[in-house]
Amino acid sequence: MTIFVRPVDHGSESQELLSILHANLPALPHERRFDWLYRNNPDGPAWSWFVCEGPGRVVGTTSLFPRSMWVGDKPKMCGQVGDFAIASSHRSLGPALLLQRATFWPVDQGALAFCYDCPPHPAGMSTFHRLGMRPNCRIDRYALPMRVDRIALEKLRVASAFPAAAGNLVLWLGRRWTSRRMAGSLEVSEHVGPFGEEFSHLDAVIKKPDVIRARRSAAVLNWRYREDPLQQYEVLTARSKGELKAFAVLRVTSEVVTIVDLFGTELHEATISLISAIVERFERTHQTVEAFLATGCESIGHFLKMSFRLRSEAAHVVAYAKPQGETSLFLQGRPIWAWNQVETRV
Amino acid sequence: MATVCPMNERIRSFVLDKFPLARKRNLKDSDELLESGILDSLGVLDLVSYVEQEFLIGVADDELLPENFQTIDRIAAFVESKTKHII
Repeated sequence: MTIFVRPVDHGSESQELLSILHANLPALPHERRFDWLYRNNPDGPAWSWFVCEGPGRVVGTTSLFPRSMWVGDKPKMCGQVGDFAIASSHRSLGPALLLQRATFWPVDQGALAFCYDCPPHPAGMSTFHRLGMRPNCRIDRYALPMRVDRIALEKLRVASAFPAAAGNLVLWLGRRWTSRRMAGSLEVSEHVGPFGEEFSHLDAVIKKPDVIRARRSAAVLNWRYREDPLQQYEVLTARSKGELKAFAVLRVTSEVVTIVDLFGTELHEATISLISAIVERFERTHQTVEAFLATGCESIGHFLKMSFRLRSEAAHVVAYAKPQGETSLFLQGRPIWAWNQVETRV
Repeated sequence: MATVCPMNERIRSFVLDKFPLARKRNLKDSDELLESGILDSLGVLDLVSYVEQEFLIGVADDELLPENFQTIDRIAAFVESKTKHII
């Protein structure tokens, strides 16, 4: 039976798209996020494709979500591959290759500077191996343990609270030692409500010729963090004499605080101030603070100084740019991927 | 008495050697490799590299279809159809 790829019409085929997503990526509540993710993104609507067997049977899908980026000091529209789903009976690589190649189409047409995918596990790299593409960078998980209650309960299986209390005390003393050496000087406070134009201004002033990163305009931040139908975020700002210098976006679950984004100018000072505030805010109630950082990005050194430690590999970033084009040459120059988790999460 | 096709046997040996899930089951040549989860896309990639090197054939992207890689029987038939064309 012939297998082929075709574009999806989000107007008339959204139910079919949702069906194949539900069947193959069952963990996500696709209906609840569909309009937000596919239609209301301020960077533009998603592109989607079906891979079909014969005339009527959809056996897989993927989408490309527009992301505005700074590529060096130039603002460019890029695209992130996501919602890649193939029926288990058709995971023979061929259908995946057809879908992956389809995501290159808007790039080849000049609508996007580059597209990228972030496979979180080796199996996700198989299509790229076949296409002869290598990762452009790696995203690693860094963690700062704040409490050991859960580890004491799970690993030691002891009823006594003493080991956990002793462990928590050791971690607390370590943090006090770090904070005495690394006192931040910016004023940190919680930011509630929408993001305003000062965030767009901050995004516009921080650009470097050798760095790739997502744009953080107020419109994008409001969509991503204030309108997300599945997730609520906490935002902390770091200011000097009232002027916005940096901000951190946190996703808080019952035990873990994830720094989804930490961005700003005077990054050394900002990282110290923001992480100190995060620790102070959550050290009595949460086990761990974690962050996802790209290899080679400037923030890693600051996180390490604040006692974060490398824990595991989280994803690879594989980018496709039109061969011989301006962006392709830029990527070949080994730019710095100043990426947090925000760039890798759809 | 069932006859054992040498090509099936060579492919089966590779699958058993490479994929732990195949070893846990009493794998038959007609068993689904993809739907059962024995092979994922990375596994298919390994299997394709193996048949290309072992049987000196080239596998095009548009041949990486379930009908060619779903079972050991189908892989063997696919390899056989490719080797027939080699003069």
